[in-house]
Amino acid sequence: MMETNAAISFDGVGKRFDDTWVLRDIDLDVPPGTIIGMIGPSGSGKTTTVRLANGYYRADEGEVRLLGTDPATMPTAQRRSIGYLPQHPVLFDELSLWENLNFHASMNGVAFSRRRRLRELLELVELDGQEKKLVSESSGGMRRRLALAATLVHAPRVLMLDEPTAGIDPILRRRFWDHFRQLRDDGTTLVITTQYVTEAAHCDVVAMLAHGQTAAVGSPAELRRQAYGGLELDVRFEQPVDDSVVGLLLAIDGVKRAEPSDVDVVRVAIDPDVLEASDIAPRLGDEFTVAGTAEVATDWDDVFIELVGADASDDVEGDAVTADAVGVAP
Amino acid sequence: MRDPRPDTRRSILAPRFGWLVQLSGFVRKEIFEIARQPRLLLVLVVGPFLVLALFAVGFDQQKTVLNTTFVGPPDSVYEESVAEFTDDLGQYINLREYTTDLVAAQRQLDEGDLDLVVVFPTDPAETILSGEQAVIKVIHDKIDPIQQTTVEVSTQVAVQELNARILERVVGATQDVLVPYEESLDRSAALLDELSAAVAAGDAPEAERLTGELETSTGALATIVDLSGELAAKVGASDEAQSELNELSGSTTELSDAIGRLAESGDVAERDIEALSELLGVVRTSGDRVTTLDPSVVVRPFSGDTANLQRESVSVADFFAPAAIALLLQHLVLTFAAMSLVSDRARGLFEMFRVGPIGAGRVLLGKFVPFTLIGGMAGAALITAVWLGLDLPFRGDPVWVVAGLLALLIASIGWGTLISMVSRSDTQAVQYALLALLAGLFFGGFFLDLDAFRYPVKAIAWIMPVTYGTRILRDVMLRGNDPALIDFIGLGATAVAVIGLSWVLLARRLRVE
Repeated sequence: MMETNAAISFDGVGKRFDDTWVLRDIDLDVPPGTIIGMIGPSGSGKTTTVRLANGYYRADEGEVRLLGTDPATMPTAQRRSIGYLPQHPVLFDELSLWENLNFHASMNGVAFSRRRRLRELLELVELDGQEKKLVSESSGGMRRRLALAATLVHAPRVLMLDEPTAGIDPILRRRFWDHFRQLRDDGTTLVITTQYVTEAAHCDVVAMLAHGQTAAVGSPAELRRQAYGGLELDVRFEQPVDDSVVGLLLAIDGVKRAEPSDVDVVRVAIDPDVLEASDIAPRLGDEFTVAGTAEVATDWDDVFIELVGADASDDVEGDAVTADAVGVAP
Repeated sequence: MRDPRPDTRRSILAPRFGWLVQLSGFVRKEIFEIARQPRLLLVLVVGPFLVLALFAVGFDQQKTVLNTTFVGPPDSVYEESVAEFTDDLGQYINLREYTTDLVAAQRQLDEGDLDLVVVFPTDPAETILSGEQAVIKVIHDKIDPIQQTTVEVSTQVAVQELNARILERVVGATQDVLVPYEESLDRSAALLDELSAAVAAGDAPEAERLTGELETSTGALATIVDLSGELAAKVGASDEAQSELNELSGSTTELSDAIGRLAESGDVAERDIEALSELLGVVRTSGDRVTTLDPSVVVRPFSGDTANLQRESVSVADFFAPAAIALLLQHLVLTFAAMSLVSDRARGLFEMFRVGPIGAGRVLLGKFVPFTLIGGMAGAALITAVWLGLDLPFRGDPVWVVAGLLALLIASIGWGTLISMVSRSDTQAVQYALLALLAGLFFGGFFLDLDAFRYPVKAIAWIMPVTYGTRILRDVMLRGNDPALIDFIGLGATAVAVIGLSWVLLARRLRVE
């Protein structure tokens, strides 16, 4: 048996349906109080991974542990530790927002004296004052917010949110991520799947999935470096640049890549363990004067494509994937 | 956004009675969901009650009386007889007319204006005298087996009644013959007195003449009595009546033989006249007994008198109401339970159940409690409505009705949960629920008696909760009796079987794959 202090761990986990493997060789260790983002196109295995983590599925190979226990055999009472928001939230159209939240509270064993707790959660998701509104009369955004509140209602130790930000506006998405971070800071472990690759920046650990396998796992910074071959900087000069500048830059130890990106700008990739941005100007000499250096804003689409490959949206065995399913945040 | 989390998780989770917390969630959800769908309530609760009410108000048993035209020869005895006995057969037939036009009558039958055409034989006497029965033909166009049976029974009863009336008249005629017999008897007695006077006066010629007249008179008496006896035997008169006639025949023959012997000898003495007087007295006594018999009693020695042990009569609507209530309640909760679980599954709630802190047993409990409450309220409303609104009798102990309804509801919900486990969609669940409704309607004793079915088909009746529910409600409400224990045992066994099977199937669905 695998010994680990991780909140969630996958050790060589695979899952198949009939004879088709939809997930293979998954290795993950998610420390307590961490946000792990599962990023990948539709059919890449994100939902299956979450369902293996929460005990909905049993692994066909390898071992899954959740809070030190096999989630597939976890006792019923211990399941109160899990908060799960499925891709399609379970809400009842004929019930009001309050009644829906109350139902989920009951299912998760929240004590009868819960009125204050429910009010706080509705306030959190900015649905206070609309308690009596029926779900059937609510917008898609309101439903997503209510679903999130329902997942949080019993204050679980581990939250598994399957595409919680799908279909909601950027402002609300940002608020969701603010709250996710706050939950993490309080010690909650969060597993969040998303098709929006830019949301990787909000996570502590990102697992990029494709074809039912992990293409890359690491912190956002690590993934950036992995994708670009180092830290990407724009070096701006006071005069127009030419090939000689690029040659000088490539000659510096720690510079992995250099190419002009504008009349007076060269984009370089450096190994931050060897070279710091501030060391570039002194090493160029007097021929070229550096006006300044700036870290390039990460294009997570590029990172994803770089790490996962352009064929990421090809069909995974037994699980259809479409090219446009590789999500890009608006 | 601020963090609303409590200090510790322990402060918000129920330390004990978690099942009660979860159960309360199910109860609220199911009741609110149904209450928020007034059309559903209208269709499933108010609608059936209105159907029941319309049935009770609109059902007219008189509509089963058959409109009938009689066809026979003009100015025949039938016309008068028809008018007489259709008064007595009013519960079976409504006399439209007596006509000689068979073609017109058949046309009316074809056009649906008539239910029956009764055709009398044109010359029944000839047929009867030839030793055959005269046939009364009954024409109808019913295809409903129940109506066909009604026609056949009505025809049988009507022909029997007609035969009885004719026989009554024949016997009445026999009595008419017997009345001259009495006059003849008086004449014989007068002749005997005159004969006695002639013998006393020694007037031999007069005595011989009177003896001859007396022989003729008593011979006629014997003949009439013999004929009456034969007729009575042929018409099937009672044994008692025939015995009386035989006795009269014997005494009359003895009198006639004695007078015959006296006439042959030509020597009449006083003692002979005394002996004849005694024999004449015996004949009179026997004759008196025969003539006092009622002709209708001779023809119909037996009559029927039905006695119902039930304290009060039960109308058609009364009889069907308990079965309708049981069937409606079965359908109501069975449909709710089936639809609810299928809907939960479609919404993804089963995924939550599988991941969350809840097992198959609690999910089922969460369905049984709210639907039993809803069914109980619907049942109470229906029974109260038919009791007060339709004047349905409620003769037994209400506690038994409550117990019966509770058992019926639990078993029906069990069927609903089982249906939900084998249904893949809402539509399929509704179809199965309708099948259960049809099975309940045909095999549950709603309008067809359970004994009308053979095994193994009859077994369907015993797995339908409505079968037991109907029997319990009829026993308690209509008969005023306590229900049979076997009905509760049957309901209990059905409930245990379907709930157990549902549990196994649900647990399998919620098991980790």
